[in-house]
Amino acid sequence: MRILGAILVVAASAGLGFSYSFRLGSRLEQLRQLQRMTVLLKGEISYGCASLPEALALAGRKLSEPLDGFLKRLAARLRECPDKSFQQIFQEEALASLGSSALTAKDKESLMQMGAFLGHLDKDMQLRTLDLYLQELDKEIQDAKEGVPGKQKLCRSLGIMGGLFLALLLI
Amino acid sequence: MDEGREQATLRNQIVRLFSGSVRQRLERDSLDYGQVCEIRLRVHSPCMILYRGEEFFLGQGGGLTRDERRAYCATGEDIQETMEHIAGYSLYAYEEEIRQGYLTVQGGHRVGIAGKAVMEGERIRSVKYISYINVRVSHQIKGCATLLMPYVRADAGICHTLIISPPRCGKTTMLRDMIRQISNGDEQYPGLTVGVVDERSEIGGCYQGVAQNDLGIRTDVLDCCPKAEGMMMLIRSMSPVVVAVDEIGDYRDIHAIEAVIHCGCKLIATVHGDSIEDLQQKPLFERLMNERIFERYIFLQHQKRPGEVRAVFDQRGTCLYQEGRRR
Repeated sequence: MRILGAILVVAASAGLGFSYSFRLGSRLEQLRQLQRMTVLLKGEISYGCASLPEALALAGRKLSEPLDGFLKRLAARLRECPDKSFQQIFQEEALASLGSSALTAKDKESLMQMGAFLGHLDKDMQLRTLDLYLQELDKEIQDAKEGVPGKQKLCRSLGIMGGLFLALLLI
Repeated sequence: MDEGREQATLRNQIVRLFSGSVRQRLERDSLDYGQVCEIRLRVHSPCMILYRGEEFFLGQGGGLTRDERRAYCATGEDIQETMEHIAGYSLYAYEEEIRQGYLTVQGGHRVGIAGKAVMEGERIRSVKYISYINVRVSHQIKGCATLLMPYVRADAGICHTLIISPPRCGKTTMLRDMIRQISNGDEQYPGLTVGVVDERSEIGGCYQGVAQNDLGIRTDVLDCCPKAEGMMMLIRSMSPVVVAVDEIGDYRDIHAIEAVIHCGCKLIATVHGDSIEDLQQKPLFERLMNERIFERYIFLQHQKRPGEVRAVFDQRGTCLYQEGRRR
């Protein structure tokens, strides 16, 4: 019975470590998706001079979960013209769609800030806002790329070792 | 699409443009949006609605009223929110339209704006502090051009036609139905390929390149394209039999018209004006008229309702139709 309990503790702890490690990998993938989204939006605005609902819907068609759902829902809500500002609608949809994503609070905050400036003033302003966000994303992706493999390894090892240590203590 | 659905679509297209407080008041009354001509918002002034040819105010509790004291006055926030809805939260995408003082929204409805012009040298760069909005509802009245079709059609095909009237007399609505009838054809006349250059998206009311109004089954629409370039593009790319354009007047349009006519295409166009003399005073039209390029001149008026045909003349100035009597 004790051995069975110990195995379960080790498995649970290792699972926790692997899950955290997977989340770190997902964050990198989602940051890359945000980067693709920003490039697509920039293209739609600079080349086609598309309005935000149009540009968001077109970008949404080319991306995968969770960003495709976020962009499509945001575009649909903007077309309904609710009694709210773009910033409010953007924030509500971002929280609803990306709340449980692997993105960190800081990543979400940067996205919200970008949303706060979209739609304001002229086309140059939109492109500069997107450029600025793209620079931030590049930096985050670079940092994540350098740090993630080490952190993933650490999480997995800590999960297994922690489980073993706890099992030994309990036995 | 049945009439009920068309009504609902029109209502939705118009009502959702406005801010929450104006929208709620508009929704409290079951207006027939087919009869609404204009809705005007002015900061700190009563909201006005031109309905069935008469001017009303939007009531504080909703619905229409003639009493100015019971009218709802638009606030700065109403105007701002309405502009956000009109531009799809993307005023940047309408820089050129704002410079010209109007935007066209889904359904082909034209929204005129006024405020403080931002100048860049001699040129208007933009309009800020937008404080006045005029939503002009576009109407699609199928069959309104039926009376005119025998004058526009001739043995050799379609006549080069110019529709002339002051603003708000139904020129665009008439042109739209004429395009539809020429394009679809009937038992007597086969349908013809029509190319439409819709610079202000008013004829087709295009949304993402697709015409929302019925322009017939043989019609190609070049949306948001300057008329002069658009006419030449259409001739090269779509080989239309008839080319239709709205509100000509620029010297570049006149050169393009000459090119269209020399290509063997037929042209149907509209222009602001009130009489032949009025047109002759415009140097550009004077030449076209002296050269007898247009074979039909159709004059519209708005006495009881928009789209009343006042007279039809041929290229020699012979009256073919006059209100109340046929020749």
